[in-house]
Amino acid sequence: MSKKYLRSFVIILLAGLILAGCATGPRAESTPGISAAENQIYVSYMNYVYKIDPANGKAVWRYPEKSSVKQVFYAPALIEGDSIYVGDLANDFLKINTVQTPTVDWTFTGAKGWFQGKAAKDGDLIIVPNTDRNIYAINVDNNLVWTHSGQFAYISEPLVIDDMVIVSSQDHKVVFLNKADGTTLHETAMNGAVIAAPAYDAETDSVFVGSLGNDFVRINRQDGEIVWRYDAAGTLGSVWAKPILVDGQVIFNDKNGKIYSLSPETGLENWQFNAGGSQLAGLALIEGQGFIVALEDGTITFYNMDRQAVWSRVVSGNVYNTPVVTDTLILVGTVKGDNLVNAFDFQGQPVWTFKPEK
Amino acid sequence: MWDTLIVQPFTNVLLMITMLVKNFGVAIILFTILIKLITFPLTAKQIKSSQAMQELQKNPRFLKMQEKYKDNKEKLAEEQMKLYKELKVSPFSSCLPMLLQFPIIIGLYQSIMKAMASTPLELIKLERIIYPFLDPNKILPIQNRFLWMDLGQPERLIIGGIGIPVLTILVVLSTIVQTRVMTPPADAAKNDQTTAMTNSMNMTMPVMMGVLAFQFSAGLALYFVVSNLTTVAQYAAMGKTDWSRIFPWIKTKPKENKPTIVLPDLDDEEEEEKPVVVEKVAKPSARASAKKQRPKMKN
Repeated sequence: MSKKYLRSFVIILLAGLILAGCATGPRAESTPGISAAENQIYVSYMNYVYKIDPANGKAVWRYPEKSSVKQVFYAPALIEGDSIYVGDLANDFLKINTVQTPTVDWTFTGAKGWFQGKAAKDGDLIIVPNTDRNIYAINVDNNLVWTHSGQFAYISEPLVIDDMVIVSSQDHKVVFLNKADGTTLHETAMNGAVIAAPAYDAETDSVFVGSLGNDFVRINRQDGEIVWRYDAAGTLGSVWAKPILVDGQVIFNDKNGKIYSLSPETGLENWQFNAGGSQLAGLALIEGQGFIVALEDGTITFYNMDRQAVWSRVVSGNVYNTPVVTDTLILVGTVKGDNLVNAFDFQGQPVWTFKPEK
Repeated sequence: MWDTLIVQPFTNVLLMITMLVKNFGVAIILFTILIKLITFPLTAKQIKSSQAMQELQKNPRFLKMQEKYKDNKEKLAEEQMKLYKELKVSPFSSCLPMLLQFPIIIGLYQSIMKAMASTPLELIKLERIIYPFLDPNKILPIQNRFLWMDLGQPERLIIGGIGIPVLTILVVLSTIVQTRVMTPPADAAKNDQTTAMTNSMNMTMPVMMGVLAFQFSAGLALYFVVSNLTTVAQYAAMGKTDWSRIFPWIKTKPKENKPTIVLPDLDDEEEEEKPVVVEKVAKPSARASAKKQRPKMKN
């Protein structure tokens, strides 16, 4: 080999090695995925999933122990006993045993896109959205049961009601699937992309959901027909979050900062008020007491059911996630704040904050 | 400021093109070509200036000056500056158009990345920068499927169960072509540090671009390919492409460019008396008159 070729080869090899060392992970900007159940709290953020001690906000462990630039977690984990199910941006969906130290039971590698939305579980079936335009149904033994393909990335948590899986689609519609095989039962067209997960009301057997096209609808689950459509006389802003159903009302917020209460039956407006700032996070219900409103600027306010502000706190950073409510805590995730998670009690007193170690 | 003046207008133009052609991949291609066309006058100026500097540096008088003052760097710099001034050329004139292009190229890249919003947070941010007359509700989300690619994901063409990074290969090849077109052939007689550095750059750039294309989203890789090919086309349009450097079996040389600067090979004393002629390329009459004024070569 001539000197010239040898030199070229060495340069290319070195450049390759240097660049491999500089390898970056998936380029995505997102919010921390917080989930809580059964006295367990998990936070998915950047290269780790953290298990948080609800008593003091300290990390009990993190997975993986040593991070990989390619493995990025934003999807909230689905908690099921001693296991969590969580997807990442390396296109993998993992079942992690959480008894003591985290160990991976299995990894589903059949997807081609990112896992950003939380999975739903019904019996032995785990249903998970992916940005490769597919919804995957996997059984607990990691066998693919069915795949449903759409036109756009799926990013919101599916809703499972009886034999039906209901999914919000960015393709300006809500899709109703057969839980057994993933075939489409019916679809309901909306005015814009549907980012928010739908909420279900058993009393009316209906689904309530809003879209980025400034509409909010009640859909009959059985036939996918829109029972009523609400747009606040043309003033409704885009709806980014799931509504709550409480005391015979469906309550939701729009991006412009307004909160609306409607009759689930008729869609007639009970009341509306302006919470005073942009809202992209949804409302968080505290059963029997009221609801939490999180403004984008970090203002957290608790309203009772008479719409009176009981307390208000400001956290550092921006809030885009719906706060998560546990038995005793309100968990608020932030972006670009001093802390990743801020925990308050129901009286609004700060309990702890969580900031990942570097 | 940066977002308002550069990224936001770029993103909106990109989205407008997407609305017109109903395909984000085609929109990236058209938008990249459009930006390259808009910045073409700057590119052309940069090419001409750098060519003029190359010619100047090869000129016997310039070389003689270097030889004469090789032990006196200060004097050499002073004489060179005097010469640049005399000829009304600036060693930095090729840098300025390039510097002006940087914000545009960075803005182009950022607008493509912004338009490919794939998380709710990115969608929120994209929605906020869309001009109201475009109606974000109708535009969002962007359909980022193009041919076999998902423009938001690193590209692989699955053939027989194997993922082939076609776009990465195209990025590497087009970068090789582009760097060969843009870099003047190394002077065989010279084996200095600059030549070595140029050669290293020529080899490292395609590898670096390939690694980026392999890891990042296909939309960005598509932009790299189109940008490289448009640059090559621009060089070709200006007659600056030596195709034999890219395809060795082609024996053609680029169109013989008329020199932009003609220096009389004078002794220092004569330089004082006789003016240096700066030739206007576009005017044959000026060239003829330059010929007349050019002194006869001394043996």
